[in-house]
Amino acid sequence: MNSWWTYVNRWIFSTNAKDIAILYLLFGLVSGIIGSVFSFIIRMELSAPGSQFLSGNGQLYNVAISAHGILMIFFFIIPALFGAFGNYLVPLMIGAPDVAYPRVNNFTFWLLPPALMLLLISALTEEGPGGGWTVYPPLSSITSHSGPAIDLAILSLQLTGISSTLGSVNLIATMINMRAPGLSLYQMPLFAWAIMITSILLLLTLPVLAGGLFMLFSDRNLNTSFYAPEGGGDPVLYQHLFWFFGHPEVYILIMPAFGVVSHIIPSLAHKPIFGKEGMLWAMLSIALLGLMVWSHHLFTVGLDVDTRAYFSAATMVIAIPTGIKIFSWLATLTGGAIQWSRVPMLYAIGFLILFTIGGLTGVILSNSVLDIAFHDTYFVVAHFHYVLSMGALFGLCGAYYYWSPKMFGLMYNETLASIQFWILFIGVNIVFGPQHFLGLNGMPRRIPDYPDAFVGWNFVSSIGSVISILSLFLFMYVMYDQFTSNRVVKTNPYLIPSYFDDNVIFVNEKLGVAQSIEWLLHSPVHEHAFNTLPTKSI
Amino acid sequence: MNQGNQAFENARKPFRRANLITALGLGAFAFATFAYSVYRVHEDTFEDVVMTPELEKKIAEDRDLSKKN
Repeated sequence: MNSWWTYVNRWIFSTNAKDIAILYLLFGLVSGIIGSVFSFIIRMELSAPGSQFLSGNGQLYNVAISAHGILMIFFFIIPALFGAFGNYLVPLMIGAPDVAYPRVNNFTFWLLPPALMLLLISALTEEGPGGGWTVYPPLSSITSHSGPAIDLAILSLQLTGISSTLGSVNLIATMINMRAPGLSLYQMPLFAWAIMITSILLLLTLPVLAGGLFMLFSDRNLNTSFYAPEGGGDPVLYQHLFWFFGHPEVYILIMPAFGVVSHIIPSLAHKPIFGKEGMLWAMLSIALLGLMVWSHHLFTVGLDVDTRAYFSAATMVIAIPTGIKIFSWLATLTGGAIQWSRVPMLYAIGFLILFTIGGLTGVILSNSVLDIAFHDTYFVVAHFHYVLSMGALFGLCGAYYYWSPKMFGLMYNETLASIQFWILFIGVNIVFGPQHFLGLNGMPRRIPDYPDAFVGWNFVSSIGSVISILSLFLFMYVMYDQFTSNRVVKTNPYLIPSYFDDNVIFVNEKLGVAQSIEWLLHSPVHEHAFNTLPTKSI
Repeated sequence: MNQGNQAFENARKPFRRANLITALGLGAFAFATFAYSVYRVHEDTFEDVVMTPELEKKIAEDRDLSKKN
């Protein structure tokens, strides 16, 4: 076999979950860069009032908004955090030879590049899709978007939906059927549980989104009127169907980050996680409650007061299991021999602080009376970016820095990576912190212009965007440096001797101890991770 | 991973039956959720709108008006 065919066979036809995970990571990185470019365009347009770079073309601005949202959610966070780390780590953590359906796994990944192509073609077709990532009718109906752009975006979303559903079935089946003998579901590591819960949420909600989008496609092309009031339909119905998926989607994005932080903190605080069972039940509670609160996105459509009271109360209840998680992470840190300056720990601490801020503004928005005032303002934009742009993204960066030495067998430059963290931390806070003030003063979202009163904080926010983009460039350099500097990693780079450890005992015994199986394997993990499948001792 | 790798096939063999059953179960659930979502969405029959003589008269007037236009 020549080298070209070997290369194609490994990377195109691969059925190895670890190879597919690397493909997911690369794909996520490319999509994340494109999504960041769109966010940069948005912030540059908003850097001053009036038309800046888009020649006063509001539809073009709307297309940038839509593309940014869809790219970041469906093509960046899900593939990178859920697809890449889920595929790489879950089989290793549960002692399985691979995922349950390796060929389906290959197909699942390869649905994504055509979906990305469809989305990018949609942005370049006629007027582009200007309906936002939510694609609400009547804005997305044939009367407002007569060209094929919305249809292409719908097809793209359907492809990503099929991909995520297949991926979820695969990972659930892997965890149910292929755990190492003696390892009960309850004993699985928290990251594996986070992926399990994410998969269940995807499986429960994606078919509903698929149904909603299918009917929107049908309204646009087959003259049905599911969402057209003139034909007996109801546009609010679409909002219910969309948010039945859309709200759990928030937890789908953040849940794997919960799992990541639950591994980084005990590992770098040199303590077992505090209250593992409590953490697990908190994640399950968040997932269950997350399925029952979708209408808090619809407080302004004319819901009656009882419905609003229920959805407000149910949403506020989510703060309780979330608080349990924050408390448990802090309790794990308490009294630990903490390696504060290690890069994954910086990201974990950043996650804790910023996710908590995002969660608190979420409690404010859960109150339907306040939400009616804040609906569609920049306060909402600031809130969900604190949860996602800082929560999910910091979880993803933390996961990369924590597990990439394991995945590639190569260490990154920790000084550069720390600088990259601080630039990103400062950058995103400058972007989204001031947006709270803009929102409280009533600046509406998805509008490319604003009154002069909002100039100051918008300018500051746009400067933050430049700083964040700088951190993205630095991240790419850190990766380049990691792959070219030949800093080979053989053991767990985060394991340090305790104060009372004898060096010989440490090298001979403690290097063979880890909190989860992946750290006991070779770096990078061999094509066949286990010569003999592991068994859990009692 | 090359397809047809015998060692890999052997490692996966014990899980094949349970994996097939799980895939069929979860797949059927996902498809049923999709089908049910579409099936349950009927167009509004306006059964909750009580037809009064005044309303019937107004509808007739509106219809005439729209025909003229």
